[in-house]
Amino acid sequence: MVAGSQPKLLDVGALEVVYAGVVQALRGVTMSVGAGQVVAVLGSNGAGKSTLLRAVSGTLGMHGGKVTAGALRFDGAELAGRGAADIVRLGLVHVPEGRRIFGRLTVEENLRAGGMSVRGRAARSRARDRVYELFPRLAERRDARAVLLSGGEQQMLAIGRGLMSAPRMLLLDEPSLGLAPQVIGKIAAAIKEINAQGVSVVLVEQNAAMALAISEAAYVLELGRTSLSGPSAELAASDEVARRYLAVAGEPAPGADGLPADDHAPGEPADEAPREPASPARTLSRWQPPPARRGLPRPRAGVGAAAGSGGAHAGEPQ
Amino acid sequence: MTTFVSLLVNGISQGAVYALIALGFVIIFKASEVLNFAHGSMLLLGAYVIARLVPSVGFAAAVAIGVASTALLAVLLERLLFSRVGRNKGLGGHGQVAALTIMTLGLDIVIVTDMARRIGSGVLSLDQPWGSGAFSFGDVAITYNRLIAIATAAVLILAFLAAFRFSGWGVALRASAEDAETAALMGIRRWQVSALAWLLAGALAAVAAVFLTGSPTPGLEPSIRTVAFAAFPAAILGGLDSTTGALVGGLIVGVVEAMAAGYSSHLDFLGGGFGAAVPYIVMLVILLARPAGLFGTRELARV
Ligand SMILES: Nc1ncnc2c1ncn2[C@@H]1O[C@H](COP(=O)(O)OP(=O)(O)O)[C@@H](O)[C@H]1O
Ligand SMILES: [Mg+2]
Repeated sequence: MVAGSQPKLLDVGALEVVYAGVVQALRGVTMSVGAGQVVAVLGSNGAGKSTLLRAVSGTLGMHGGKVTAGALRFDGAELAGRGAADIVRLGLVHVPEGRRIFGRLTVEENLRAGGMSVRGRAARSRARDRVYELFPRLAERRDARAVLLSGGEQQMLAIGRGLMSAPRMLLLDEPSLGLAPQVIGKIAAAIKEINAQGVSVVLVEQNAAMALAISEAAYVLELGRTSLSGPSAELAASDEVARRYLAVAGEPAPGADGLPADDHAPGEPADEAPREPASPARTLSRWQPPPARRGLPRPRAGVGAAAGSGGAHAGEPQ
Repeated sequence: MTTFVSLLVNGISQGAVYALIALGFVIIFKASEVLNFAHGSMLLLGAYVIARLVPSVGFAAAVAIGVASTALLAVLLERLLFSRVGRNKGLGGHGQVAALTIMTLGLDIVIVTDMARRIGSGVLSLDQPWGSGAFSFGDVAITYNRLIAIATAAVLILAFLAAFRFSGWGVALRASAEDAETAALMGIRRWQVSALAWLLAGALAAVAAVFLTGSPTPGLEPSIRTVAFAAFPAAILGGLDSTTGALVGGLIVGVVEAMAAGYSSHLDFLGGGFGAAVPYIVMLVILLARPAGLFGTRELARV
């Protein structure tokens, strides 16, 4: 298990999720996030990262998914059975994959939408000022329609909008997706700043280098299971993670040193401390041996058609 | 020429009333993704409540109660339709939306049948205090009812558009209409947004009823629901998910209808009673050119 004895804010225990009654997307995921932590969740496409966040934020139902087993608690409160809008009011906000900004609304209106659960005009305008302070670029473009923003600006807006309700925890689903390295660096710096202001962060990423650089602990999902977990620095230096998630363009990483994260996120803030070279592969808690089969799951005919989301619908053979 | 101006002014007035109805239809669609075919019967009910109450409480109080009860009925319909859908779980998939739309058709038939029985074969008067007098300017004549309709519709539409644009409810409605899941992730409770949309739509329909049953119409007959039906092609040709479309569509249908009626002697070769079909013909022509309607972003086929 990661992290020491501080009280856990988010607790996910042996979670199982099924889509459309047949596609088992999570097969027992356990994760806990302490107050004030940044925890990364890594894994390749289709591993179940977004499913995990949807289960926490109460939006599985909108995708035809259902929690079939396991526990979900936030700050002691049971999340199962609560609607998405109620979970926001507990102080837990999910910023979905692909930014999902309201393109026809202005930047300012997007932020207003994000603060809709907040009582009191003063509290809302304070939250908005904080977002504009964090992302001055958004303040410059406050009256622009959000669809006209660049990809990086849209990601800032998506994060800023999530901050409008002053959450205690932010779930970020692949904020680096489709962004240029310099922009990824800015987003990473913003995440660190948000965390420094006291917000816990669950950071789902395929960009393992960036995520490991700014998180304390990390979990690796594989085919719906937690395959590895541990302190981020150890994972970053591990053979296994380096080979699978940090390797350059198909070329396997040479040794146990792993690759310096900066190779992959050159835009990262310069003040990033250089990681200690180590060989902690042994110290990683291994949940189970990695599955022999790798690569993309085979598509399952007939299931995708029933699902509402436009995402990938490849099922996994049982 | 004076005939033309007269028809135009009367058409605009009728169109403004259609716009009130179409606006409600459009915000219900935006908020709940349902085509509310019970809209005409809500309007009928509003008119009936007002007509029944006018003798005892007077016009102003009757209108207030009629508007409030129609708004309430609309919210009850919304709750009834969505009672099986979890409050925060979004409003379900497209199959469900089709089923709900068909349910509104069923509700429409139930309410209209009941209203027709209550109203009977006579004509109920709403006793509008402005009576049946007309204002004439040269050869151009328009009843006071229609003049007041234009003014009232203009004020209500402006107020509505301001709320839609600037209020928290307006932002929440537009956000939910664009992306329901993400709106829920922002803490927006869609059922609240939706209930308020139905409430406003019901109130607007009752106001429209006051003018639809006024001069030159003799009063309330069950057939005003058919007149109110012209607001559907208005909403659809304007673009089902566009408030601007509802306004422009309402005006187009009102004016074209007035012109077709006014010049009906020139249109006799098309057969009698052609006027009633005009709104639908205009709608079809516009949809052929622009499948999403004049201002819409969504094609009806994809609803
Ligand atoms: N709406 C859905 N219906 C059916 N299967 C889905 C749906 N969404 C995701 N899945 C499946 O669940 C698995 C996990 O998907 P996801 O959580 O999106 O992975 P990740 O975010 O790690 O890329 C995949 O096999 C995917 O095909
Ligand atoms: Mg994903």
